[in-house]
Amino acid sequence: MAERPWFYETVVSDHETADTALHQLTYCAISLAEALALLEADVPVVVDGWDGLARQAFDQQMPGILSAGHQLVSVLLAAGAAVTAAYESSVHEADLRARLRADHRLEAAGAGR
Amino acid sequence: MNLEASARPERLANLAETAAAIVEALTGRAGHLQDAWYAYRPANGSGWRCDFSGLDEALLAWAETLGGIGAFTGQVGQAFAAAGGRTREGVVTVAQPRMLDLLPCDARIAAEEAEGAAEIDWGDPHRPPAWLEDLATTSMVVGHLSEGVDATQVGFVVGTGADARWSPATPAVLGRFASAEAVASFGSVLGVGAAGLSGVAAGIEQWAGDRGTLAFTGGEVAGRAITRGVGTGAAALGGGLIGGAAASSLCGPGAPACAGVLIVGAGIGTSAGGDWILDRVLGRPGPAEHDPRLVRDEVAGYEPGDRPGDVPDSTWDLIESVETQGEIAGEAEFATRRGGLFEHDIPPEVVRDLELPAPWVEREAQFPPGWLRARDLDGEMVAP
Repeated sequence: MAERPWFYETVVSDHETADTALHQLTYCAISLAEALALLEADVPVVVDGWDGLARQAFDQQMPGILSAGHQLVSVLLAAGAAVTAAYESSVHEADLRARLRADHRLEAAGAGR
Repeated sequence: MNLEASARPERLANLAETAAAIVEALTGRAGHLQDAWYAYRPANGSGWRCDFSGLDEALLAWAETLGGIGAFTGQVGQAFAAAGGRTREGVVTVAQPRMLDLLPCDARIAAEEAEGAAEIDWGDPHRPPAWLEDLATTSMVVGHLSEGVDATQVGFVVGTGADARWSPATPAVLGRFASAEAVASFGSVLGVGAAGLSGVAAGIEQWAGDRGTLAFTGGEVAGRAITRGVGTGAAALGGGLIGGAAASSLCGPGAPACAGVLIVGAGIGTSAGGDWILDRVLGRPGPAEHDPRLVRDEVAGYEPGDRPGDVPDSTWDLIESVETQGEIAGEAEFATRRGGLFEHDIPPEVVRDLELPAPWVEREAQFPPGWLRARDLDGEMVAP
């Protein structure tokens, strides 16, 4: 029996779980962004009058933490877009394969006559 | 090593408390993200999914790091408080070795290893970072006036601390946590239309100021605004009545200057007195002080089981924006990957590379250049 063409392979994708993933990734980004906003508003107030080695340790660590947080926000949002992109692409691919399968079956039926 | 160190211990404790609440909220958020991945992975084939499996751990790692610096800050605050020393305008100054001795071992090591590190200018403590203030103009004020918030622009803040600035693509939801000072700077906007209605204006100002903090629940914010509004209005009314009564009894007819001075003076006096009393009755959170429960709830945001109506419009806007970007990217990816199939003239090598079935290849690829496909992608026959 001849091997079936590639477009007979099913495109496995699911709107509900992709949509949930998009929502959760965006919620995470917003949560993190709100945390960053709160911290960045508070830190100048907290360090006012703070001097000494502990302050230096804080200053050594905190900018990197905040910066990493901002990067993570953008990564989470980009991942949300990527999840949607993958799903969108899968929908187009599934449509294309369905069309090719229909053509293929017509060809096969014509050849069989 | 400097022999003295100083700090405001209660503010360090406040930051530690806030950081702990944020960690709790983000830990929950990461759990929901992990659940979403576990559901998404088996339901979407390997070629049709985005691998975000590591992002919940990245979020947890970030939260744990924040928890670490928060705990450190809290321990330093406790050490300052326990070290004694002298206090001036809230700043406690102690002997640095004494304070270090009171720190747990790992915190002490961290502090000692930082010797010589550059001190960062985090900006004016009385003003929020510029990027927050900029956002306040679009988010906080507009939000308070219930005219909706445009959060469709997605991006992130560049830099941190005093160097932080926002790009026009920053999510507007970030503006929600601008400090009460930022709200006050927009008092003129909030006060438009309310000039002369001192009680209403004071109530709105109280409400806006409280909403800009994370120290009060929604009910508390409303109650405080009503108290401020009614109190200020009563003081203004009382001032007018007192001034009028005093003018009629002391100045007599034909002395408008005397009456004016008394009426205005009584009004100013009762307003100032009313404000003084209300300030003490209502109180206000200390600098960088928030209710940890509110911080946790606000940062956690929408949780599974919450009503969809609880999701702010700005969140929906952001989700919609991200989704639209994804759809555009997905269509572009598909067009790039399968673009050859959409050409009117399909080069034989394209068809071959796509491993199309033989009969289809023969039918399509044997057309001479310039011929059209027999059937377009909508299934319509196209005349050759």
